Amino acid sequence: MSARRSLAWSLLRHGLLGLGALVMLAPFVWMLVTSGKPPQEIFLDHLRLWPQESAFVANYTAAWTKVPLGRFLLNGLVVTVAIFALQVLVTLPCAYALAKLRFRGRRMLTVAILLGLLIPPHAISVPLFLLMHHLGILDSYVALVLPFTISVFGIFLMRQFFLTIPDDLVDAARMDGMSEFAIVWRVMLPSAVPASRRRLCSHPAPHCNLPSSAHTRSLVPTTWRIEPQKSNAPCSNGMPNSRTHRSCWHRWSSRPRRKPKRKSVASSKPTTRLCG
Amino acid sequence: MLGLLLGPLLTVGLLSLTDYQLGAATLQFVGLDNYAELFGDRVFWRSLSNTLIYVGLVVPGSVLLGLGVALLIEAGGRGKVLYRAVYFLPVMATLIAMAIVWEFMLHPQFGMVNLLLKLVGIAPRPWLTDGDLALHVLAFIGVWQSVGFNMVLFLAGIVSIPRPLYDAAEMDGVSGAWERFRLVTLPMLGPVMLFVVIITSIRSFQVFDTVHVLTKGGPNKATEVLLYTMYAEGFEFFRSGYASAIAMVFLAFVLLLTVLKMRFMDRQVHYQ
Repeated sequence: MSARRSLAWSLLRHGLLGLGALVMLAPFVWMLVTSGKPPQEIFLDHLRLWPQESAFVANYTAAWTKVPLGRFLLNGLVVTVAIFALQVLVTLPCAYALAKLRFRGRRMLTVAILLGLLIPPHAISVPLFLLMHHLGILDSYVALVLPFTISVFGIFLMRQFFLTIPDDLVDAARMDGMSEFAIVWRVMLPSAVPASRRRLCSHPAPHCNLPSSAHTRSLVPTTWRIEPQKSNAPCSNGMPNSRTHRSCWHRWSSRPRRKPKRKSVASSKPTTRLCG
Repeated sequence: MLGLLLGPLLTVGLLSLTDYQLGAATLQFVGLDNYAELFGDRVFWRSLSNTLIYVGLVVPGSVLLGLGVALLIEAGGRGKVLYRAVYFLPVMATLIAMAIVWEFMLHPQFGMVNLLLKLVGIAPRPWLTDGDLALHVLAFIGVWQSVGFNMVLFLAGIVSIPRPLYDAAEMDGVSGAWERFRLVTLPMLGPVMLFVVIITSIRSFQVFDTVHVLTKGGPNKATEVLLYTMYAEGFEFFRSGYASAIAMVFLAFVLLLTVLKMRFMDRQVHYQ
């Protein structure tokens, strides 16, 4: 009886999940098959999944030759890499300072970070646009990168994670004569690899969704945004840990499940303390 | 951060008190006139209520579905990795690009959705141009996009619930999947839940991309949301002062809701 029940349960589970997965995948599949259809097949009044007359080659060569797609992809790559590098440079020391150093105004800054979390990128687009205009950097890579160098979400996430690293580790490093910056890069960063992995995986998408200056000037065609998705797959750039060379999916599925959770628990704790 | 987030925020606050127009050389201090105009504007109220409806649909939808998917994925053995990847895909994808694909799929005559409906004998609908439907369709896309993110957070939460708790519950006579979920899993997920609900509602308040691509606030303001109104005022009519006032109201709203939610949920969340 129990065997039959477990079979039924597994069928139910796969049925439900599979149904959901179909909905999740539908737009991607449709995008893919449509990219291979000649125009007359796109506008059909009945459903035809696979194109009868394949136009994959024609469509893709058109896409590559009609616009400088390679250039767009390169743009996407440059912007994403720059944002990523700068974010790591800014986020980790900030998070470390907020989590481990005791100084005046620390709580104030934490509240400011939380407030920053609430600011939608669009809401400050007007002043940012003006700022860029006055700095004379509109229509440049700098304008696309600069507004995103500081990720409040990243600082918040890493801070929550750093809070879970024992103080003793930091103290021991200090005893050994490491400078504060050395602690950030050589102690905190390696122990933060699980959390930063998650961060890297989730990071490029938002940047490519809304480069606010691109938005306001609509100078970036949607095509270049395809690239960052690809570029975040090997999410181990710059991590000094050889184990991270596998893909992020793999890492999620296989090992350290405990750490992200600790982050989540901790993440709501201080927040509520601040407000209660 | 001060320079790029809080600085502009202050500027927005100041701008909202002026009649500044984008590109204009001068600006004049007009006090609270922008706000007075805003609160007398029917479009603003429409867009506020639309935003609230959208949030009200997306938050429960994507949180509950995310939890459900996470539970189902964790419950069984096979296909975990595959399902996780599939459900996370929309989160990785760029929303603007995907909005274009959705527009394509929802096309009244040639869209996949209507063609599918025709196969099973349901009359096709003009999804995006019907005032009663459009907002719901956008909410559906919102849920579609954010389920994966919530699922990942819930998965992390579920996996880290200590096994012994379940054993202890069984010793205490808790039997059946539902009881186990109600008495052990759900309370242990409290903190994650708090985080997920807050992040999801902040994000769904910030809905813009899909509106911009799919409906442009139409038909007849049926999908006008706060950020879109702001964008239209600021970058199409160049009334930056007025747009700034909308931005301030918007921020105040999100802040208020977040604080309320934290207060309310904090009472029900147990920490380990």
